[in-house]
Amino acid sequence: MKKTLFIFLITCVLFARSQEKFIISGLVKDKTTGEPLIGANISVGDLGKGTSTNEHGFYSIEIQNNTQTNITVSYIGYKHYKTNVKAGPIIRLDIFLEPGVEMDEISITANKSFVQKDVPGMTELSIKQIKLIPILGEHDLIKTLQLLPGVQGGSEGRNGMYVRGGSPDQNLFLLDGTPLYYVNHLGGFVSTFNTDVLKNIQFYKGGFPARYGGRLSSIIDLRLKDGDNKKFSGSYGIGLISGDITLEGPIKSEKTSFLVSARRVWADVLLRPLTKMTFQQSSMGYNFYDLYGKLSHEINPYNRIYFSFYGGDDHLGYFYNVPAEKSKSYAKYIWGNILSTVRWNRIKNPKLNSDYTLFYTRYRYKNNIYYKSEDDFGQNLYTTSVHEGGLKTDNSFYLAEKVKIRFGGGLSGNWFIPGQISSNYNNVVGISDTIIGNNNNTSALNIFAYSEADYSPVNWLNLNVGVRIADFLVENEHYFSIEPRVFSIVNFGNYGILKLGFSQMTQPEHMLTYSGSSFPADIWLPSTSTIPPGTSNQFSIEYAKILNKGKYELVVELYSKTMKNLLEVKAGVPLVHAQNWENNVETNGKGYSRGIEFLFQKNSGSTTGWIGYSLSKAERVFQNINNGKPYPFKYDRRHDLQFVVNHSFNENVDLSATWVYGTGYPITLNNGIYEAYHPVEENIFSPESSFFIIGDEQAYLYPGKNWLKMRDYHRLDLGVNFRKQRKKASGKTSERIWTIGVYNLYNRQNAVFYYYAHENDQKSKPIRLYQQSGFPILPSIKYSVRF
Amino acid sequence: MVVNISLSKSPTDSINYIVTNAKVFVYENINAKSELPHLGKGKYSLQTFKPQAGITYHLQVEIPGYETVIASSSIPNGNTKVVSIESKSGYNNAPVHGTGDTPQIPVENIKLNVFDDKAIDDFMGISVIQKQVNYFYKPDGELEITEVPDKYILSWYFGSTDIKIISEGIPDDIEKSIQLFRDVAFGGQNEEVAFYVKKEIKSAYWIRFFKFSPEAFSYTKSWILHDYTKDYDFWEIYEPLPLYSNITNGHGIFAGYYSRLYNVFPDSVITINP
Repeated sequence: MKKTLFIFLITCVLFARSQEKFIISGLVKDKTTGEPLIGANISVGDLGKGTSTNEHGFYSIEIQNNTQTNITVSYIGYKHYKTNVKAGPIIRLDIFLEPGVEMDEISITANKSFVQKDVPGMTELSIKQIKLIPILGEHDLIKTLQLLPGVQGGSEGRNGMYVRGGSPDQNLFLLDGTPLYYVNHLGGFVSTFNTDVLKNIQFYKGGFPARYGGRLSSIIDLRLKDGDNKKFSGSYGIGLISGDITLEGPIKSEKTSFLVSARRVWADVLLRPLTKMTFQQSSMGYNFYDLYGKLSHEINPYNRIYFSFYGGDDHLGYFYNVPAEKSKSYAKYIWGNILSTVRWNRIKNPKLNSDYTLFYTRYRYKNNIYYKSEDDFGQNLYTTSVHEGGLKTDNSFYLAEKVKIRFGGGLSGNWFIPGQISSNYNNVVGISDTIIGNNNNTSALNIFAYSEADYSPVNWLNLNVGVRIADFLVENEHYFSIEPRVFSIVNFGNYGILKLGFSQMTQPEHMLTYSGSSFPADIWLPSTSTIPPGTSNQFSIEYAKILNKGKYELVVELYSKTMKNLLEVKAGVPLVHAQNWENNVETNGKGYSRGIEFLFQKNSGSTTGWIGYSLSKAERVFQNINNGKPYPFKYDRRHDLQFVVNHSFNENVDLSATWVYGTGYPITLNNGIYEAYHPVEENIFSPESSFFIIGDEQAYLYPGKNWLKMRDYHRLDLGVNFRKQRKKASGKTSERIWTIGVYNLYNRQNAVFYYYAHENDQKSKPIRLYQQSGFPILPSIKYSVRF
Repeated sequence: MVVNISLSKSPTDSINYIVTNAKVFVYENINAKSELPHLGKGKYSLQTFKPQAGITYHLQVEIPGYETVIASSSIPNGNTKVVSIESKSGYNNAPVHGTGDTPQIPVENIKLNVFDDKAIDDFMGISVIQKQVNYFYKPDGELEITEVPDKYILSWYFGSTDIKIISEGIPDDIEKSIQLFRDVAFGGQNEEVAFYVKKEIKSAYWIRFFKFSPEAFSYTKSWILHDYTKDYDFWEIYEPLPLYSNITNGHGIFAGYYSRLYNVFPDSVITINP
């Protein structure tokens, strides 16, 4: 009896031990640079179970005790890593992947990569992809995003990224977790992002995980490289628009590294002297710069700290000098950002990875207009800015084999300075100082917390349920929001994957564009006691399938987005001069956007690329606009098509071709005119004469706001990279790259605007309808070196 | 009452299509139909027909081949009126955007004292008429400004910092010959409304005070914004605003208003007899 009981107990113990699970966790890094890799796939055995690294390269996975388990780690652009692990006590396993390409098992990798993209409408762009598509000689992040279905670039010559019927201020750009308010240079020609310093780009346009908030239409989460902590490397280049240099390397090998990068337009070196030569008494100049910096330090295997910095500005100036009149004047405009982040990443235990961030970001625009003559001088100054600073925490907790929790929170102070014009004037009589407009500075406090649970009850089903809670306190008012985020992924194996999602978003900050300061300025303003935050609800269904053993991917997505509490500036009214700016905007606007998007992608082989197509409709409704009837959103594009092809002839030459097509944007153009009564403007026959007259002026008739579609837009760009490797005696290699490109190869005259005018500007000639066209054919060339 | 009738045309059309064969009827309240004959060039009027305050008029226009056009409005009634006008000379510092220049502008600061009839919603306006001036530089470089006899203008430098004006939402940047306001912002029985107008010579000028029907007020305000925005180009941030119309089956305006003209002297206060 006792013997039986003993055997039974031993069996129980052995059985219990056989079910015991242990944790393996660690970091996945690039073997050559030490960079943590984001989104690397870790799979256990052959059952398809696995996880992926978070944005800090951390993973955590459970294995059974009495098994020797195969662990496979894969990441696009790197060779697979396989190891066999025997479970034991808590295991810390840092994995180093070697750059290279694995041609086999791509289907498994690709399939898992779909699964790991746990929300619909999410795209992960690789830096390599962006660098294969030169546009005007630059490898530009935003220009590449605009090649995806659902993303519009707006009119040529204007900056902006319009995602599924949303406006540019509804996109949140995060650089190492910190918001960046202004992301363009040169009127939208290039973005502020230097791809040489970026490690990872995640773009969300549909489902938004609970860790993101504050904007309605898209999230672009950008991570800077940490810097190579093993060897010094860098690159420099010069093109038609700008020159740049990037350096990175260890300060202390495998412990501390740095990354610095600078870019500057160089054309102004010639522009100002050239315009001065041409116009004698006047000249103009323009330049921009970007400056990035990052310091990374590993205190110990469980603690790392980072310091990131970004600064960039655009400078535009007009200068006048008339020596004969002893007068000179200038008008200078400056706009740009600074951003800084201090971050501590901690592996608290094998299941918990925590991030603590202190951040500050600022966007400001200012102009300085100065006049001086022999007798007097005057000066106008205008500045508007928005500042945000705060701290937050993000945590990844691998609760169990099938459950991962993310949670966090934070608070930030926001300072909005819409600006005022200050002018002073000195004359022979005296000095006068005038402040025009009210100083409508506002501060706000933003507090938020979130939690999301990622659960896979069975192999073929993944659920992500989250909620974000936020409270925005401003002007004795607070706006409390609860934003649910729910996603599910059903894996049908060879038949594909279905993703369903719902996101509710809140945006307490609004961006309005002001044209009254002789140059367009974007002004950020908070929600107030009379203007609530904007909100959006978005449903999406996505079907994804890999084809031909992973060589191709097909993604089809249906979405429906509703936005509320949108704003529009009333025509011709000021924001700066206003006693109360809320009176000069139309409020309570609604936006509706629906569509279906297709993306067919080839990721392997010498020829890669994608075809994207979207069929969509975006509308707005405001009570006092268009008589309260819905009207097309300014960048509503019914059909949008993109062909992107990259072909590598060999390791030294690759070609990129991009063809885009879209139905024309809507425009408000009058289709009729009539004689109208109007107030006398200046000359009047006598004081007793009638104040209202007819015959001099005409009224314009509009069928509706944005009623007319301009002609279709299409354009072909080509780019070629010629590479040459050079090996030095020291064994180090460098690479020289010539990038030659043509924008708008067949010189399509794409319409950006329609207007009426007399032929040849002569009033005796008939009035015709004319088109203002965008950029013509533009060649580009850039030379860069990587070492 | 004069009714002008024309057809709208394409923006590229250079010909104006006046209508000469319309039948134009005006009703007082619901009675007394009067037909306005065509006087030429699309104008329809009847010399003996004099509209009266407080009466609602209905317009009906019949043109062969078109739907019947109708509209209604009235001439304002009520006791709201100007009680006194104060005019005081002074200077404004006016920065010229884009240059840094901030010259001193000689102005007349005008205060209109208005008695408000609280029983009625009033829609009002003011314009200023003065004699045209000539600028002449003497041989010694001194600027001489003289008035031109029998030539009159509405000053382009005409504005207000009064909240009752500003709250109408028409920015000071837009040049206009009339300032509009309503009694919705009035607090007491007598309310002061302040303006300024450029006045380089200390001589008499005229103030015209308007009382508008709601349709006339909406139209005048809408015209200012429509005229400002209609010729927008690619670089403008705003888009054009349509012009207000109270015409059914057509476009345009049929609206009543009346005005009173006051002769004012700089640095003076005049009391208006009831």
